Amino acid sequence: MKLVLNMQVGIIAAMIGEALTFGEAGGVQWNQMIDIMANSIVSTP
Amino acid sequence: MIQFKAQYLKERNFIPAFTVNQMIKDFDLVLDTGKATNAPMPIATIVRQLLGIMKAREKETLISGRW
Repeated sequence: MKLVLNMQVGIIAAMIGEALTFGEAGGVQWNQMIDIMANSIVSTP
Repeated sequence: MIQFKAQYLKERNFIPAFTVNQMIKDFDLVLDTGKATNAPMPIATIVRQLLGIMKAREKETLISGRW
């Protein structure tokens, strides 16, 4: 079970990093982007 | 996880809770188990490769252009 959770933590970290980099490169405001992500459906998959 | 990390992300504080070596150990166990049980793991395979790059570069972050 530990591995089931930790693999998701690792995958989510990579996913968030890629998404934030993509958003910032496209001109989305950093803090606003994090607020929206934290209150969106991806925050509680 | 995003809510948990939101304040750290705003401060661009990317200090990890796990080390790369710890994650590599777990991902290797996951991938070995997936192979033994015939569970397809394409995403975990990619993340394991990213962790390998991080280890090779001795960095704890992979955000491009911000080493």
